[in-house]
Amino acid sequence: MSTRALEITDLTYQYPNGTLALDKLSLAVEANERVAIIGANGAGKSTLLLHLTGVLRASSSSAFKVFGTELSKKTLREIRQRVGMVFQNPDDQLFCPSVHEDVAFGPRNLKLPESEVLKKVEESLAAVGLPDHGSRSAFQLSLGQKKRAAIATVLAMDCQMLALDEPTSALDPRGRREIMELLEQLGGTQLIITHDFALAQRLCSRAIILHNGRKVADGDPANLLNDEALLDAHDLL
Amino acid sequence: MKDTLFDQQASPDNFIHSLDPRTKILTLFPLIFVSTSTPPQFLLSFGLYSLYLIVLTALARIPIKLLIKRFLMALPFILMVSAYLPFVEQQDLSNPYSGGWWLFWNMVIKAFIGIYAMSVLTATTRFAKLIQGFARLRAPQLLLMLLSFTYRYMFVLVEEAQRMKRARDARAYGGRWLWQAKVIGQMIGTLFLRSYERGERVYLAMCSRGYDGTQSLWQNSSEALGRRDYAFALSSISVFILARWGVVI
Repeated sequence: MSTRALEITDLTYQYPNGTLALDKLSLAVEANERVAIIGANGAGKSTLLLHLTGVLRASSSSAFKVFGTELSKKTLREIRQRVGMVFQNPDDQLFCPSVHEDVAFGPRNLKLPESEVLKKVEESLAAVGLPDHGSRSAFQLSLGQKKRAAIATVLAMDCQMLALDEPTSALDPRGRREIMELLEQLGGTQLIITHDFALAQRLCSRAIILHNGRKVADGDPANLLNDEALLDAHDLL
Repeated sequence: MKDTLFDQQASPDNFIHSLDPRTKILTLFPLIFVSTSTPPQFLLSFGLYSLYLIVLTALARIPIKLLIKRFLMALPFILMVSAYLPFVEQQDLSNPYSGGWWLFWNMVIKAFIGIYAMSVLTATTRFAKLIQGFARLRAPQLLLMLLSFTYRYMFVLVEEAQRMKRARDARAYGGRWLWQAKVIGQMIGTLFLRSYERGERVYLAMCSRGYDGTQSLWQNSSEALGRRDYAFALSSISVFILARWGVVI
């Protein structure tokens, strides 16, 4: 049996103010699968992502495995290297004075030799279509370019899985199309949190709908996202 | 805000621009120290320091407008600490170069040289390169991180403040009167909270790329300085030494 990229069993999380953000959520993502996580605001998508970064800890009754490794304080570092997190706002992800430094940040943290770091930076920037933008500062880039640069910062770390938080939000049609083409071309395991139904249908082989912290549907995006009754019942229409 | 205060002039094809940042740091900072240690009556020395900087300005083709902007920005601070001196300080009879006006001159000329030198440094070096130069010179990492984050988020913050101001003005709030201080206070508070939250998100982004506080953010392996760098640094430092100690008044 091949190892699953992500396996979550009975994940429950209650915020200190009493809001139940995740309610016995179980889901699995196979390796090399591209899965869309869809849900209205407050459905628990971001809370799920915070678990993936290790900021929030799963309780003992649940299981949270990334490529077969249980997420814990000890394995956090390893898992962070395996999962490339692309945050919603690229201004949070690009924090260095130049794009080059930003992309080099991850590989340097992995203590790669400088020649290797340079190679990774060049490769990653080329992969996202920004080969000549290394010396630019992030605020000299357009939003679409910033989002692609943010993806480059995790590509440079050779992640086994990409987790993207609304990669196409607030983009113009061209920027949106470029991101979609990029994700399609990159392949590998991708977990995409999105409100963009067209993206989910075009790129993803599976869609998971969350509502009030529970998984309410899991299947072919084309079927789920055209099911008006289903969407309406979960505040998506 | 596409062009920034720091990056608009940095072009790589110019001699001064293409020098290693370390060379520029190690030449222009000593100039400040030498100038600060020069007694105020050494007028010729100050003239030579200024001349040196003017030559650099010409070589690097730094626009005068940019320099004037920098001086104007610093002017209020210089005046704040020096403007009252001529009226307050009494002359010490045993020293002909004491008294209010000499003190005033002393402060103004040294501030001028200092700001001029730093303007030349920042106008000819991209900010990222500058920070890298400091890192290679083993400047404290924490300080460099603070500087680099400030530089990165300064503009993000300014834009955020502008958006808030626009949103406020769109709801018919005009003027800056005292009784509107409450609204302004709230805006500053909101801005603070947003920045605080952004700080957390940035930290999260750093952690998720393997940061644990121990690593160096910058490349540590240093390339050797070129011959041009040595030539520039040595000739500059000789000029400073001659101007400071070689001039007889």
